[in-house]
Amino acid sequence: MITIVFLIFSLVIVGCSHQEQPHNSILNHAEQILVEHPDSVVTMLEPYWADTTLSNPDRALFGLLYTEALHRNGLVTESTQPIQFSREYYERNNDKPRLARALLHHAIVLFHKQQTHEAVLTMKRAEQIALKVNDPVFNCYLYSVLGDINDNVGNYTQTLRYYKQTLAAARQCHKDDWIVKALNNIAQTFDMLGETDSLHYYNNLAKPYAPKTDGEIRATYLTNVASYLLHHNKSKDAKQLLLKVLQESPNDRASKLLADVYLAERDTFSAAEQWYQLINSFSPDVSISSYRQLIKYLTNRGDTERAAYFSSCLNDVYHDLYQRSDVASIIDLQAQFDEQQKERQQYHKTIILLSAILMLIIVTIIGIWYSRRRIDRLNACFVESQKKYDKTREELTQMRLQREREERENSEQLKTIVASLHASANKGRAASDEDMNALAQCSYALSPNLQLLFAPLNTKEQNICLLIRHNFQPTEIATLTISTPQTITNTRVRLLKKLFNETGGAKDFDANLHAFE
Amino acid sequence: MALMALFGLTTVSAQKTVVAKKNQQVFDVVEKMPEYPGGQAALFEYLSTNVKYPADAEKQKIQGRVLVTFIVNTDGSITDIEVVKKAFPSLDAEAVRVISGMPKWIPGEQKGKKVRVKYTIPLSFNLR
Repeated sequence: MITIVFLIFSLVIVGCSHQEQPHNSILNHAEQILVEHPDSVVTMLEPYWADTTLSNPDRALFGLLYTEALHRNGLVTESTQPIQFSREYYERNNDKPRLARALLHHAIVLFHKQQTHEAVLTMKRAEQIALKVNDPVFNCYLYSVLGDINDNVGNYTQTLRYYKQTLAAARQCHKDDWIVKALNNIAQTFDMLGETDSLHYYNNLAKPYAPKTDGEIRATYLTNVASYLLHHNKSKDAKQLLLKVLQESPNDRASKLLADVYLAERDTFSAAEQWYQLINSFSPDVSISSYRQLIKYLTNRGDTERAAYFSSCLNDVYHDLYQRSDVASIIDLQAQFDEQQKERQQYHKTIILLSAILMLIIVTIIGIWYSRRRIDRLNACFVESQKKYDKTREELTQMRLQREREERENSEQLKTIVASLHASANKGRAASDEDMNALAQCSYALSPNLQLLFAPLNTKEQNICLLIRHNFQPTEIATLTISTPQTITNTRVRLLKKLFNETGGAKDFDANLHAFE
Repeated sequence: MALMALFGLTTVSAQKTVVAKKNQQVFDVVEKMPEYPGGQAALFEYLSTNVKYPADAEKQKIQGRVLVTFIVNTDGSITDIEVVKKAFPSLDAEAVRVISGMPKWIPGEQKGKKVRVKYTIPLSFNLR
């Protein structure tokens, strides 16, 4: 019975925790090679774009992989549907690693669709989840994109922060080309800030890795080096590097720098060749600057027709830029989001602190309560002990009083007996047994040890000792015990030896007997 | 038969060209770089006019840049067209199609002699 219940319980648990997994082997393979070969993934997955037969897990994975491959390939897409489906699917299934990726790529799409507000918030959400997922490969890409977006809007403080995080993630991945790319980005940002020392520093950091790279990454590194050389008026060396870059992997920055070199050399024809390359740049700033230079160049050459055509193109670029005007909003939104995050963290910290204080107060209260209970119990014990003490003390006092009374009574009786015995001795009469017994009783009552001392003695010896103890003269003792004084003296000497184990005279015996307590 | 003869002639001619080209070094940078007839402005106009946005890329709203390399031969013809880094199949194909359809260039020169030069052009596909 227990086994059946256990089995049912296990099946329920397994059933609840089960997530639908993609089954399409091409998608699974595409996911494995995506980071290294995004171009192959685009080619592999492109035919599936309009495929409506895909299961939901496959469709979600397709949307994520395809959009990610396009982005990693340097392409831009404004098609939101596939990636939005992925985002919603992974959100429902709580698949955090894929959700973080889906959020990032959805944010990139939204950003290109000019839905800046939504894009920034989505990107920040991706960043938050990434912190929990902690996948350096994803983090490297995420921070790089965040850096690029901030770079595009000229928010260089944030740009540097994100590029440095990219560098840290790239180092965790041990990918030389990613490290160089991050170092290039940092160097380029410092170049934009006019901090040539930092530009040089990061160029030097990239130098050992640079020979292992090629294409765009190597071209950017060489462009950074050329830029540094231009800052130090080494335009000839810089020009050689830039020509090399443009031959291997043309990029906007290299073209712009080369155009500047040509312009400085007053070779406007060659400079114009670069401006022609740059007018189609995806960066509005570069495009505008090139259009303006080109229009100026064509006007100077008298080619007014072409100049007018490019002026109209420039207006279109300005128009697009005006429509976007998202620079400030991106910076503000990020700042707002970060501020909110900071506030939320502070709120959490405050709650934790308050909880700790509350716990401390509760513990203190419990401690005080426990101590008070203990004190009360000890007090009760003390009161009880006090009562016992008082009672015992009272008993002892009563006993003492009784004893004193008895002693007093005995003493008075003793005085009477002693007086009676003295009278008998004076009259020459022997002591009666009654008087002697009374004397013994009173004496023993006052000094119980005396009875113990006299235990080995016979009655007559005891009587002699008692009389000596009460200061009777040997003649009186002789009369009272019907003996001679000499006999009494001899008895005293003998008893000295017997009772006190001493040798001496009769007076020594008397002294010992009087001193006995 | 006539067709076979034509095929044979073409093959022989191609072999000769290959041998001739093999003997010619390809330069990356030369004193006088090859030039599109009419200069960069004309090249810009040619590309603007002839590049057709591929339908699938347009449908998927895909934009990007394709780097294409080719060799400008001593006679100004264009050969060895290659996409440096594959971006998107239809964009790559369109870039190759447009480049291969270009008229002959003015060849590059080194020390006064016409030489073969490798040239790289970035083609931007922008929907706006």
